[in-house]
Formats: sequence, structure tokens, C-alpha cells
Amino acid sequence: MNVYRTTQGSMSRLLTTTAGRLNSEIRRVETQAITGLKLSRPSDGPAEVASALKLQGLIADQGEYEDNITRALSFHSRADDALAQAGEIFKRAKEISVAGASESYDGTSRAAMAVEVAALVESLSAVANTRIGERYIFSGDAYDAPAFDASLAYQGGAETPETQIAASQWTQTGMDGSEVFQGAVDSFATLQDVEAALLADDPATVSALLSDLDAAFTQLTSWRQRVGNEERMTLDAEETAGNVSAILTGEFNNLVQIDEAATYTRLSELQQSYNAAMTVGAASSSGRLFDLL
Amino acid sequence: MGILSTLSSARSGLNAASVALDAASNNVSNASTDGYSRRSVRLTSSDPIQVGSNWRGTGVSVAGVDRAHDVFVNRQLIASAGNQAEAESEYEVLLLSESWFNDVEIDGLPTMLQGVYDSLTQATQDPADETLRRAVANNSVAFATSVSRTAVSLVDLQSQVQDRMSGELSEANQRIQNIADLNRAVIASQGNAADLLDQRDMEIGMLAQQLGVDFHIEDDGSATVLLGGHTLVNGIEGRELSVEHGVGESKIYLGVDSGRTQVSNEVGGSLGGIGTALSRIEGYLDDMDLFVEELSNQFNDQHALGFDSTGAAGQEWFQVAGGGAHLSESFTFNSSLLDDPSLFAFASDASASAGDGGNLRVMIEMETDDAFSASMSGEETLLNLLSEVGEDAATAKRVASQQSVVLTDLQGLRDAISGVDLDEEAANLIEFQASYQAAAKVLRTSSELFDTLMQAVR
Repeated sequence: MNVYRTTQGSMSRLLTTTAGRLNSEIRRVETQAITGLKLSRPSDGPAEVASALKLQGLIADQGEYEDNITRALSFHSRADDALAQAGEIFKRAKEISVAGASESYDGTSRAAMAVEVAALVESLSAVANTRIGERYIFSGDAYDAPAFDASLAYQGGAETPETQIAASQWTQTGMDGSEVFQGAVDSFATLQDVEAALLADDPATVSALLSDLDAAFTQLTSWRQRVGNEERMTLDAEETAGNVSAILTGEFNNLVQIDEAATYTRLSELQQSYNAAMTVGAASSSGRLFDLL
Repeated sequence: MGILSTLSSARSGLNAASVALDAASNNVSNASTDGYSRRSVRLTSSDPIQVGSNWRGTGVSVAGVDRAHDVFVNRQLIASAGNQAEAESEYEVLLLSESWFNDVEIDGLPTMLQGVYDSLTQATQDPADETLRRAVANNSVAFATSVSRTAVSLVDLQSQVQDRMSGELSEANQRIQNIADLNRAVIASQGNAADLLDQRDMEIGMLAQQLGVDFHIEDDGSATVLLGGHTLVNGIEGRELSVEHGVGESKIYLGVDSGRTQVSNEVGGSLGGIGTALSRIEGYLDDMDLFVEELSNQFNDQHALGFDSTGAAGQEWFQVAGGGAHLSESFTFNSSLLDDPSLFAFASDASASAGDGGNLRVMIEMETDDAFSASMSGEETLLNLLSEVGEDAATAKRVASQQSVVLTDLQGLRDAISGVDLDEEAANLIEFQASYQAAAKVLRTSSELFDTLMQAVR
């Protein structure tokens, strides 16, 4: 029967192997403590790394959506302001027209009213060519040029530009001015008709045009409501993106980030084990029988 | 029993103790020598002689100096060393290749592809905006460059691995010759030269680490070394190995009488591990090539359906120059689009209104389109490749760790049988020193008796 021998070589190998394993584990945990990450290479957890990267991609998507939302909201705000201004123009036009339709005013007064209505046409034209930066918001997808030319002919695009604000959600960031201002009721033509009737000192026609003014106002209000709806939808998307981003970030952190207390405790344990192994190794190399000879 | 026979018996005791002390001394000296097998002296009582009706002892004889050795354990140890070296080498190479897919600490391929889609999403804010278009171009360049750099680096790694294979094979051939030479010396010594046997075991052990060989001992003491079913060393004859490197693979051949035969599948050890890692890297490159082809088709086909700001159809988005062993090495982003971002065909209509992002919208949807192999999207394909690379490295590490434990156990077992325990040797020294001193005392006493007898006779 063989005697089990404890040789210098086996003691040394055991010490080296143990120290090597502990060192490797210490280095791994130290890396985690320094970087704050559980995973430093794909092989640390292939499935976890893939999941983390997938989450990272989704978080980045939310960031892009939030960026797009900020820009879309500034468009909505600008469009709402413009349509509110247009509404005010028609309110004033209505006031003038009600007065112009009255028999208590004479031709001179109506001529003065016509001048004011002409100014309102100019104002409406300016509103219809509202810009954000270099972009005309009522030019449809041809937003690099004014929506209406000097003769108030629409020269914008027929398509409505949209910006992505969620995975499958888009919001309008441009409007077709021909539909807004020249849809069922031509706002410019209505004002011009009122101007012409006032110049012609024709209160009956002015009176007849009051319903057209109301229709133009209703049309603009309707478009303003649509902008409001888009804005509300975009604000909802913003809130959703923020929530989704927070949830995804939480999941990502759970997957990737270390539990600091557990990591430092583990590091301390490993360092103590390493010191113990070294102490035992040093002790085992002394106290041999040869020392007693 | 006569005084002279007592003297002779004492002298045999001195001789035996001296040989035993010599063996213990040699053991102590070689306590840290790799591959050394402990020696022990086998003593037997000398043949007795018959004097009258009595048998009288004649002392002690040294029957031999034994080399503590267990062929079974040694074969297990050598096989385990080969397995450990194979797993360790595979892990070493895969660890290097993994660095190129390390998406944890740096932005890797999936993150950079995500960057391309993110910039497309951002471009929906204003498809005509040059800054946003330039961001798309920059992200696309960064991604394509990262793909090609990864591929080129992996090909370079393969080349370095093949150089290492050539170097290791050259060493292995030298070892094969050394074993054949040691066989010659062992046969000449009739198998009794313990030091030669230790040296040969060491050479076989190191060859096993490189090639994963097995061996058995012949009646004449020579070792026959086998690689799979092929003989590498037979008696005093050693065969030469050669390697032929191709694209992503290396074939190892064994020289035989009729020419050569391929033994790549039989090779284990570090060369086997390196070979396995080499083919895995080739697999990653093949996967990347397929990905590059599918991604190029996806982007280029869709881009061609759109119109740029001049109303022209979209040009190629990604390009593959070819020429190298792998498509992914020459994967680039079309420099025309980088030079002039207005050439991005985001519009769906040739009239190309500034805000027409019809085609851009379809391109964004490609991010989740399962148009790639195995019904995956481009990003999923890259994540799958990343997982594969990580899993391969993790598996190799796990196997190497397991083999290391097995190897350590077997090394401990070999030490228990063949190793030198200094406590045991110290005890042997004390024992044989006492034997030597006792025999010397007997010799002196016998000498005094002899002197007394001589004086009485005088």
C-alpha cells in the first residue's frame, strides 16, 4: 500500500493554484467594484449581456423619442399660437362686418372699415406663413418655402410631415396650409369679399358674408383643436417615454450594476482567504523534520 | 561464525546503508525537480551459508534501486495535461477574440447599429435638415468602420494564431525526435536508467500538452507514442508533423511512408485548442459576412426606392469592396453620401419636397424587421453573435477550470506515488545513518576481536 506523501511540489502547487484562483476572483470582484458593473465581458454572462444591450438600445430609443417630442411640442405650440392669431383676426373681421352691415354707417365709414379688413388680410397672410426657424409650418412637406405667395396662392406641399414620437406613433409637425386656410371655406377670399363689399358700400352683401366669416372662424378653430389633440397625444407620449425609460433603466441597472455592499463584503472575504492561504503556505514550508536534524 | 565472516557481514551493512543514504540524498536534491520519480533502495538479506546443520546469515545485499512509478497514473496525468492545455489554449484565443465584441465597456457593433437607427429616428424631425442627415452619415460610417475593423482584427488574430501553431508544431517535432532518442538510450540501458525514464516521461508529458498524445511502454522499455490511431514514435523512429494554413483553418499532417496523412481531427493539447478557437473565429467571421450581406441588401434596396433632394433614386448605402477573404473586412459606408448628405433618399416621391420623409419612415421600420437569417432583425443578429462569442469563451473557461482541478488532483496522486516527501527522506536519513553507524560499530568490534586474537597467538 502506498503511503500518501505530502511533497514540497504538491504543497507548492496547492498554494499556487489556490492563490491563483483567489487572485483571479479578487481581480474580478475588484473590477466590479471599480467599474460598478457586474459584467465586464460578454463571457461573464452572455445572456445577461445580450439582454442588457437590448435594454440599452430601447433606452436609447426612448431618448430619441424624447428629443423628437421636444421638437414636436415646439411646433404644436407655434401652430396653436398662429391659429389663435388667425382666430382673433376673424373675430375682428366679424366685428367690423357687423358694423359694416349696419345701416347706421355711411360709405366713408365703410371705406375706412375696408382699409382695416385689407390689413387683416395682410395679417392673415403673415400668420399663414409662420415659421419655426427656417421652416414654414403651414407649407406641408414643402416647408422650405412660404406657404402662400403674394397673390395668396398656396405653394406648399400636399403631404403632412410627421415625426416619430414612439415605436409606432408619429405626430404631425407641419400642416397643409391650403386645407387650413383654403379648405371648405377660403379664409383669404372671405376677407377679400368683405373688403370688396365694404368698398362697394354694400351692407346687404356684408351682412350675407357674416355666415362665411363664422364658417372660416369655425374652420380655423377646428384646425386649432386638431393641433391641440396632437399636442395632448405628444405630451402623453412624452410621459410614456419617461416612464418606459425609467423602467428600462431600472431593469438595466439590475442586470448590470453591482450591489455595492455585497461586492465589498465579497472582496473582503476573498482578501482574508488569500491572506490565510499565504500564512498557511508559509507555515507549511517550515517545521519539517529536517529543521530538527 | 568466524570473525572474518562477521567483518564481511558488517561491510555489507555499511555498503547497503551507504547506497540507501545516497538514494535519500539524491531524492532530497531532486525534491523540486519536475518529473523526478523518487528512488528507493530495495535491500535483501544475502544468501545464507550452511555450516554443519546450521544456516548462517552473510549480511545484506542491495537488490536494486527502484524508481517509484505508476504507469496508469502517469498515463492519466499525461492525458489530463493534454485536455487541460487544449481547453486553456482555446480559452486564451477566444478571450482575445471576445475583446473585439466587448460591448459592455465600449460601444460595440449592436450599440453602433442602434446609433444608425437612432439618427434615422432623429432625422424625422426634419428630413431635409443637413445636420440631422450628417448625423445619419456619421453614425453609418462609425458602424461600418467598426464592423470592418472587427473583421480585420479577427483575421489578424487568426494569422497570429496560425503563426503560433507553426511554432508549437516545430517544438512538437523536436520533442518527437527527443523521445525517439531517449527510447534508443533506454533500450541500450535495458530499461534501468531511471533518469532517462524520467526525462522521457517529461518529454511525453510536454508533447501531450501540445498535441494530446497517449503512449504505452514496450517490452524493450521503449515508449510508443500515439496520436489518435496514428503512431508518432515507434521505438527509435519518430515521425514528423507538418501544417498547412488556409483561410481560417489549418490542417496538420503526419508524415508516413507513402507521403502524409491528415491528423487534424486527432490533434488535442494546445494545438487542438488553438485549432478549435481558429475555426470558431472563422465561424464568427462567416456570421459577420452573412450579416453584412443581408444588412447591405436591406439598406441598399430600400434606399434605392427613395429619392434624394434632386429627385434621383437612392444610391447604395453600404458597400462591400470584396477582395479579402471575408466580405466584412471591406464593409464601408458609401462615401458619396458622407460627402453630400443631400443624396440621402429619404423622400418617397421624386418631386422631393424638403419634408418628404416617406422612405425614411420605411427605413426606420427596418430596425425591427425580421428580414435577417433565422427571422431576426439586424440588431438581434448582432446580439446573437455577441452571445455566441461570450458563450464560447465562457464554456472554454469553464472546461479549462474543470480540467485544471482534474489535473491538480492527478498531480497530487502522482506526487503521492513518485514525489519526494522531505519528512520521509529525513526519517530515511536517520534510519540509514543509524544502520551505517551500527554496521561501523560491528566492524570496529570485529576488528578489535581480530586484534585480540592476533595478540593471543603472537
